[in-house]
Amino acid sequence: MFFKQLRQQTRQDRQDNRLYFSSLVVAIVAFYTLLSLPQQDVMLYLRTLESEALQKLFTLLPLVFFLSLFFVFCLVYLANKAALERRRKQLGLYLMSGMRPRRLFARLMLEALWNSGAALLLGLPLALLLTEATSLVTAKIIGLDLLQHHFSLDLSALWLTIMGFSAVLLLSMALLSSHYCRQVPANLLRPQIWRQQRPGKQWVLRLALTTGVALLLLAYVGGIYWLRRFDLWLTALILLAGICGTFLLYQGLGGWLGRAAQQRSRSRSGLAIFNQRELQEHALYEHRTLAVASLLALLALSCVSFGIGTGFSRLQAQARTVDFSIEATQEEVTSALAPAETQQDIAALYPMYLSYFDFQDSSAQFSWSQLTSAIRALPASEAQQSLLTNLANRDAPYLIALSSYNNLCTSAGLPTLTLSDQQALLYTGFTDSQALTQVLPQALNATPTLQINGQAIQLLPRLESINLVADRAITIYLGLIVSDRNYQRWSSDKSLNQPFCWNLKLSEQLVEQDGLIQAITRLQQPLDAAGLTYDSYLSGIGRRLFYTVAASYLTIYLGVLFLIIANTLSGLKYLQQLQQTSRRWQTLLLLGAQITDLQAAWQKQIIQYFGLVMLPALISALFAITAMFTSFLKLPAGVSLGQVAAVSAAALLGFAVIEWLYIRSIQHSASRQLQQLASADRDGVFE
Amino acid sequence: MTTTRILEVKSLSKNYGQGPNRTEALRGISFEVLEGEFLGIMGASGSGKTTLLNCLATMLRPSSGQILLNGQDLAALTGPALADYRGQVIGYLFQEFELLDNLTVRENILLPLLLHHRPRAEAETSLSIVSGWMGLEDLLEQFPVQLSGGQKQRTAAARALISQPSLVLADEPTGQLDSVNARQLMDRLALIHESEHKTLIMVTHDSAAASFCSRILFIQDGQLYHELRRQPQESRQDFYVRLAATVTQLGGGQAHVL
Ligand SMILES: Nc1ncnc2c1ncn2[C@@H]1O[C@H](COP(=O)(O)OP(=O)(O)OP(=O)(O)O)[C@@H](O)[C@H]1O
Ligand SMILES: [Mg+2]
Repeated sequence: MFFKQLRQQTRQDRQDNRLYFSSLVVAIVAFYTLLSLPQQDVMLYLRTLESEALQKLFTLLPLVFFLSLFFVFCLVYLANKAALERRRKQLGLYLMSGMRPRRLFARLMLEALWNSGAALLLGLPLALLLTEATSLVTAKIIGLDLLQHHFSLDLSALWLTIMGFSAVLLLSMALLSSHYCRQVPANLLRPQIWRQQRPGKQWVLRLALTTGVALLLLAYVGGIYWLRRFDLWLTALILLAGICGTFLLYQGLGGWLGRAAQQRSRSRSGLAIFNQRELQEHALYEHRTLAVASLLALLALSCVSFGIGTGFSRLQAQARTVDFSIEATQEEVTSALAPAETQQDIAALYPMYLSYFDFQDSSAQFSWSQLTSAIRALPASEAQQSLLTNLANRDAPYLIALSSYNNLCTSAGLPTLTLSDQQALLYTGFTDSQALTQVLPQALNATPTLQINGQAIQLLPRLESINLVADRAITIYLGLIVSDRNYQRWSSDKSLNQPFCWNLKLSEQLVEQDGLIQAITRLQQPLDAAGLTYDSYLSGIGRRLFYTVAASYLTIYLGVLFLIIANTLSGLKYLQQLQQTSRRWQTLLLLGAQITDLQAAWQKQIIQYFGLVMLPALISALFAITAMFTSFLKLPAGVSLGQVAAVSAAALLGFAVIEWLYIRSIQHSASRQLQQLASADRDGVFE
Repeated sequence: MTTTRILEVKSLSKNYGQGPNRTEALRGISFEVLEGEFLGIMGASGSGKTTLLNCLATMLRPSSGQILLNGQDLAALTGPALADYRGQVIGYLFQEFELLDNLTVRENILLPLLLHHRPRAEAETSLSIVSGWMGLEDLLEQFPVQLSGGQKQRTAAARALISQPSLVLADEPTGQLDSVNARQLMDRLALIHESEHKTLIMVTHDSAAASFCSRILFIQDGQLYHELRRQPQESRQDFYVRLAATVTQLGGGQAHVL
C-alpha cells in the first residue's frame, strides 16, 4: 500500500516535473562522462604514449569532479526545491492529518531514493551511449581513424557516479525536507502570497540600468583592448565590471520593461500587455536569478569557445611525412629492418642530415646582416621586433642537407628542390609564429644574401616548413637548407655519415590496409627487438592529441554543464511563477480569452523569457570570445577562418538545439497546465 | 416599459460529486428575468446561490435543465462563441475581485475589450465612460496592490461593465467591503442600472445591498421558495424594512438563529 502510493507519487512528480527529472538524468550523464574519461579509448590509447602528461591530467580529474559535484548539487537542490514547493499543500495536509514530521521526512527521503533509482536507470544507459558516441567521434575527428573502438564499461566510474549522484540528491533532499517538515501545517497550507506588483522607486531602477549598461560597455571595451596585457588587476577589474554590470542590468530591466509596457499599453492587444507585464515581473522580482542564469550561460558559451579554440590551435593537421625517426647507425637500421616482409612495409628509409653550423673550424664565420637589414626595412611591428631580437641572439641556424629535405618532399608528395652551391633556403618548424610565417617571407622577397665563411649565399624567396622528424620533440626556430656539398663543408660532419636520425615512411598500402596504429605497431616490433631508440609519428600525435583532448574536453564539458544549469535555473523559476500565478490565467479565461489565444500568448511569453536570459548572455559572449581570441587564444596561422567559423556555427547550433529543447520542454509543461485549466473549465474551476 | 425576457432558466439542476459524495446543489430551479431588471438572490449559506450564478456565467455546466439567454441555449456554446459570450454578453463581478495584480487599473479594465481585439479608440472611449461611473479617473495608473478593497471592487465593476454586457452578474460584490464602501458601490451600481437600463443579477447575504434590487429570489436547498418584489412607489428604506423582516422570518441569509 505504502509502496504503491510512493510509486504513484514519484510517477506524478516525474510527469509534472519533466524538467526536474531531466535535470537529474543530465546530472548522471555529466558525472559518468567525466569519471569514465580515464577509461575512454582516446585516453587509454594516449596513456600508452604520454603516460606522464596524462597522469597529470588525471590528477586534475578529482578536482573537476568535486567542482561538478558542487554544481550538480546546486542543480538538484533547485529542482527539488521547486518540486517540493509544488507540493506545499500536500505536505501541509499530511502534517495536519497527524503524520509525525519524522515520518514525513522519512517518506520524502524514500521518494528521493526512488526517484534517484529511476533517474539512474534512465541516465546510466544514456551516459554509456553518450560516452561511447563521443569516444567514437573524438577518435574520428582527432585520431584520423587510427583507433580501434572497444566498448568500454568503466565499473569504478559507474560506481562513483551512483554514489556521487545519490549523495547529492539525498543531501539536498534532506536539507529541504527537514526545512519543510519543521514548518507548522498552517504555514504550508496557506497559499504562498505571490509578490504583488508595486512600482519600485523609478529613479533607482533607472540608475541601475544606466550604470549596468555602462559597466558592461566598460567590460566589453576593456576585454578587447586591455585583456591582452595579462595584468592581473586589469583582468579582475574587467571581470568585476562585467559581473556587476550584468546584475545591475537585470535589476534595471524591470523598470524599463514596466515603462515600455506603460507606453505600449495604449497600442497593444490585451495579451501582449499581459505578457509584457509578466516579463517585467520576472525582471523585478527574480533579477538576481536571471543575472546568475545569464552569467552561467555566458560562462558556458565562453568555455565551449575556449575548448574549440584550443582544440584548433593544437590540432593543425600536419601532413604525415615521417612515421619513424630512428637514432642509430646505418648498419643497425639495415640489419634491424632486413627481413623481407619488413622491407615490404617500408616506402622510404633515408638519413636525415641535420646539424649545427661548425664554429670549431677556425675560418668559420656567419653573418645575417643583409637579412636583418631587409627585415628592418619593413614597416615596424611587434612581430618584426621579436624576429630581430631572435636573430640577434642566434649565431647561426641549423643546417639541413638538401638530399634529406628532398626525401621528405617526396614522402609528402611535393616536388623536390634544386639548389646550387651559392643558394640556400630558410626553414622553420614554428608554423604558428606570425613573425616567421608573415614577416620573414616579406623580408625574403628582397632576396638578401648571407655571408658564410667569406662566401655570399643567396637566400631564395620562400620559407620551408615540412616536419623533419616523426615527433615534434625537436622544433627548429630557423634552419638553413643547403646543398649537400655545403653541408659537408660547414657542418662538423665532413664525410656525410653522421645523420641526425634515420627517417622511415610506411608504405601507404599497409597503412590503408591495417590502419595507422596497426601498421606502426607492426614496425615497432623489429626495432624494439634490435633495441633501437626511435620516435614514432604516433607519439608526436599523442602529445598534440593530449593537449587537445585535455583542454577541449574539459572546458567543453564544463561549458555544457553550465549551460544546463543556467537553463534549468531559469526554467524552474519560470515554472514556479507560472504555478503561483495560474489563477491569472483562469481569470483571463473567464474574462473571455480564447484558449488558442492564451496558448499562443503563453508560448510567446516563454520565448521572450528565455530571450531575456539568453540575449544579454549572447551579446556578452560575443565580446568575451573576441577578447579571448585577441589575447591568449591565438589561432595558428595554418587554420583557416572558414574552418573555425564552421565549427563555431556547429557549436552555436548545438547551443540553439539545447535551448530549443529546454524551451519546448517548458512549453510542454505550460501547455499541460493550460490543458488542465481548460478541461476543468465549466466543471468548476472556481470551486 | 418594454418587457422583453432576457433570461429564461428552466428546471435547472446541478450535482457535485458521485456516489456517497454526491451533493445536489440545485434541484430544478426555474425563473425568468426581464430586461432592465435588478434581480437579487438570497439564501442561506450552501443553498446553491454561487452555483446558480456560475451556471449563468458558463463557469459551470448544469447537470440538467436549460438556460436561455435571448433565446440562445448556453449549453450549446463552445470555443470562440463561448469566449465571446463571456467577454461581451455578460459581465461578472467576483466576490474576490479577481483583478490581475500585475496589470494597472487601466489595463485591468481594458482587458475584456483587448482580449476581443476591439479597436483601440473605441476601447479608450469606453474606458473613460466606465471609469467615470466608478469614480476611478485618478487611479488608472495604479496597481491593484495600491488600492483599497472598495477601489478594487469598483475596478472589477468597471471591468465587468466596459464591454457593454447585456447581463451583469455579481456574486456578493459587497461581501469583502465595509459598509461605507459597500454603500458606495451599490449606489453606483444602482445609478448605472437606472441610467443605462442594464440587467443585473446579484447574489448577496446583505439585506441593505439587496434593498437596491427590484426583485429578490430566495433559495433554500437548491430550490426556489420565495419571491419579493419592490412596489413601484415603494422607497428603498421601506423595501429594506420589508426585506429584513422576510429574511428573519424565513431564517435565511446570515440571520440564522442558532
Ligand atoms: N466544487 C464543489 N464540489 C462539491 N460540492 C460543492 C462544490 N461547490 C459547492 N458545493 C456544494 O454545493 C452546495 C451549494 O454551494 P454554493 O457554493 O452554491 O452555496 P452558496 O449558496 O453560494 O453558499 P455561500 O453563501 O456560503 O457562498 C453546498 O452544499 C456546497 O457544499
Ligand atoms: Mg457563494
